[in-house]
Amino acid sequence: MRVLVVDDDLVTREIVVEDLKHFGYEVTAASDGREAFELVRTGMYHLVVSDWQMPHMSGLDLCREIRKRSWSGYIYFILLTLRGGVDNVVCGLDAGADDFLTKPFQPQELRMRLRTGERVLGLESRDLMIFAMAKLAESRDKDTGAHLERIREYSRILADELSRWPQYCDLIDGDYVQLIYQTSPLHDIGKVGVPDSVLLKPGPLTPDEIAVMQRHTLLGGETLNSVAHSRPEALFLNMAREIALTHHERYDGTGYPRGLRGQQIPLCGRIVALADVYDALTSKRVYKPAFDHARARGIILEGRGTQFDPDIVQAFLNREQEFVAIERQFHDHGPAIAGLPLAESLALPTSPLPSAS
Amino acid sequence: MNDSTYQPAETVLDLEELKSRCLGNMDLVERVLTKFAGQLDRDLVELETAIASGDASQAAHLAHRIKGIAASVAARSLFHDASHAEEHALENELDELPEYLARLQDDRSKLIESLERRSREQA
Repeated sequence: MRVLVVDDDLVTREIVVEDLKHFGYEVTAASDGREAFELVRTGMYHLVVSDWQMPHMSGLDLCREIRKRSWSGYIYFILLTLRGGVDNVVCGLDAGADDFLTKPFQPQELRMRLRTGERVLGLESRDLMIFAMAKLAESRDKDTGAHLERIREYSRILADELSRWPQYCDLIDGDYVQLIYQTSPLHDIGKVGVPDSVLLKPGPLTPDEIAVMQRHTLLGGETLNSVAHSRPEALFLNMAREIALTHHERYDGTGYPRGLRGQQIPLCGRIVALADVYDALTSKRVYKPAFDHARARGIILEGRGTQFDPDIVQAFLNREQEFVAIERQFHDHGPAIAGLPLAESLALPTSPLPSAS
Repeated sequence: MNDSTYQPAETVLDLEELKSRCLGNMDLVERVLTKFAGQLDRDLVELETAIASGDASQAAHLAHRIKGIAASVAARSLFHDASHAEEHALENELDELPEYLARLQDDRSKLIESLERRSREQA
């Protein structure tokens, strides 16, 4: 694992660099924040150990600059300092540092802190693998573009909004929001079992084909269930299973695969249901143009209490500007079309309101 | 050197502590001590200049750096005096700094003396 060590003090830097090499790390040294930032920009470093006070750019400013930008992966930042005291720790953590080590320290202490960093980066790799799996499943469907990126953002926004309501604050905490962000992209994982002749068919589906298509919820749910069964401690698998199985259920009990109603549908399934439909409405499909936000909003409102949980529709309304921003950020279709009659635009014969697949 | 001024090396430099920080690697200890002596000399010259020109901010920066290298090699009295010098510089108490510069230079002399004695003992 590569580590970038940043310190203008030659003596400390020599000790830290040599100790970390002894522990098996591949180490690069920089003498100030500016030099370090240029090295971070190469994308080669995800573990940074930096002194606080340095000329040109301090460790604190380096950390802030790193956090301001998007990188291909998380950068775990350990701040070294001679400054003790709670105020300095708070200041360092507030700048985005992940850990804080006061000089002088024993090499083993730094080694333990780096191991924590490696574990955090490992978890991120797990998240990337989840997303890669979802992307792979999605790759057969050439219509979907950045669908998964948008779905997880919409789901996160809805969960975050509900977490602020008194009736949901015991159900939804920060972990839940993070889990739904990680697992919502797996909602259509069962489509790997749907044949191309159905999945990629440009025209309306026959009743038999609709039944085949609808089986993707069961396929996804069963696959994730078998994995979740062997790893019960992996909470994300349980949520992923519930989402895959229930994101096409409808609040009034007319959805599929099991016709669950109201609170029988897991909350995560109700959240992703709205996120998925909003994305289908605002995206171009072979059978419909992209609708603008106003049109999609009207359709979502029509489904309040029938297709969608009224609370989740309200959460959507409370945060709709963020939906618009996400849709623009991950835009991958032509100009949105407003005012087209729904029947002309959507070839979805079984439902008066749009379904996402 | 008379007996009253003699200080064992451990007082100015805790070599065991430094060895521990270098994971017992004596080559690294030697390299670190060489770099330390060179860096300390440069920083003390720059600190003297900063104090003479009334630049408290630069004096604070240099005192902080001396504190850092002192912490790394476990040079306790140097660390202690550099900490005080930094505090006075941060408070813009320039009148106090010449006294601490003298203390730091004295710490430096004792450190160099103990390093030279150590070299002679090893030879």
